[in-house]
Amino acid sequence: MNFLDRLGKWVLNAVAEAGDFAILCWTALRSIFKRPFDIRNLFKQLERIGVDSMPVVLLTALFTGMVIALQTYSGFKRFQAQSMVGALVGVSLTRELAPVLAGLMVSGRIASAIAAEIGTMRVTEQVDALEVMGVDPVQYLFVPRILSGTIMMPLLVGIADVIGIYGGFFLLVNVFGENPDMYLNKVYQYTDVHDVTSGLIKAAVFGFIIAMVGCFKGLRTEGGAEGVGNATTSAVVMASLLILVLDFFLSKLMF
Amino acid sequence: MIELKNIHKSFGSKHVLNGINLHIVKGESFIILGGSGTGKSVMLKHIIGLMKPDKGRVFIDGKDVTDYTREQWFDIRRRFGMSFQEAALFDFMNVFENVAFPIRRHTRSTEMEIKKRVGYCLDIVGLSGNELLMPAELSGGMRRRAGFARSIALNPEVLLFDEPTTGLDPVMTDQIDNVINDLRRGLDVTCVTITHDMVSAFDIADRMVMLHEGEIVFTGTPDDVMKSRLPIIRSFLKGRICEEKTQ
Repeated sequence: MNFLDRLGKWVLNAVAEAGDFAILCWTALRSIFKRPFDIRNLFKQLERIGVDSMPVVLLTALFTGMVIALQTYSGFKRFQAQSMVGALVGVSLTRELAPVLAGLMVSGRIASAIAAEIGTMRVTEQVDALEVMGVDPVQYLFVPRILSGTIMMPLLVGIADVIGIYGGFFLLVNVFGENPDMYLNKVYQYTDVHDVTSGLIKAAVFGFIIAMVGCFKGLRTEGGAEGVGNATTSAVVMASLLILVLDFFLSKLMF
Repeated sequence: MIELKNIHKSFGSKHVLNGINLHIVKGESFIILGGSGTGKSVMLKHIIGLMKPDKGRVFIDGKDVTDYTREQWFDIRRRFGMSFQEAALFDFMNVFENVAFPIRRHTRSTEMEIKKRVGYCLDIVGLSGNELLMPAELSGGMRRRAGFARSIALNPEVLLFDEPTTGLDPVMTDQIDNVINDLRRGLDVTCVTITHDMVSAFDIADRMVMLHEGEIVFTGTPDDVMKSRLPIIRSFLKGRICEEKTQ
């Protein structure tokens, strides 16, 4: 009975949190179209979420492209199919690996930072101060962040696609001495425009989720420094899990 | 101007407010006294709509605002200025930007007008020349005065102060009390102050209420407080006598 009691409480809390998250998403989406538009804050967040995340995302893409090429080359070579490495790198990166891995890297970097920032504002009454001044915290704090996440993630993933493909190219051509034209021809031949656009759509959704989860967890922060720490950790966990779950459903929807 | 009728508020099984009734008149300096954890801040949050009562009604200028939406409250709050216990300055903005923030959000003032208004507000609280400092570079008293400056930036009709002198030394407490009195006289606003500091309360009050275990146990002028025989009032006054002896 005790176990069932706790399980019931956990389920109720989870459902309540999911409901709160959905309502806050809707409120934030509506707030995008409300005046005043805070362009200065938007550009600051574009830089922070997009430009500052570029090194970590590009390094991830470069080594992911190289490791796929490395693993598939040794496997494909056993049945003389090494020419197909380019096709596999191109399709797997654009459809899946670039958006998902970039999403996970950015969630570790940005969801935590947003949750810590808004969480600190919450526990030091800065969010209450916004409310008291007649400024909607959702509009002022959420909108620039979710817009930046949604705009910058596809751009990051687009660049990551190119870097990852050329990572594989570099390894095959310079380490294994394969024909450079063959690799790139297979990439172009097997990677459709739809593969690229579906990856970019996923990236936009992941960008929204990362920023939204960071804001949501930050706004619900309670207590002092410990509360901010908990919000930061749970923001990364929730954003990462949502990325993996949504990736499945988006893939099912688009392919 | 502000009226609370039979306000009840609980958090879980803990009853914080048990049937609060009070009426704050326009232009007066109203003090809410009480020890820690008696529900003073919760009461203030009901006045400004940051919390909704479980039972009871809140009236502002005779209008029942209890069930107002967040958007309706945003409009009402533009008439209020609130100064928080730890000032709640935005830590990513300097003093100038903090004070300019409500002006930028709610008016179409030019940069020149904003600069003039911010300069005026900082001058009133004695912080001229500190515009470029970040909140982390300010002392406790300076931070609170910067918070006062931000709260008067839009010429509010009502100023709310949440424990403005807690944790400050007696000299700084006196300075803050003077600033509150100057603001009240200079700007002709209604002031509602939460405090458990009797020295401050006597310095700035027209009328006081004492909150104890979620209920108002006393209402009156500072003179009424001095004459009161209520044990809770006497113990607060005793605290005052002790402080005077130590100064």
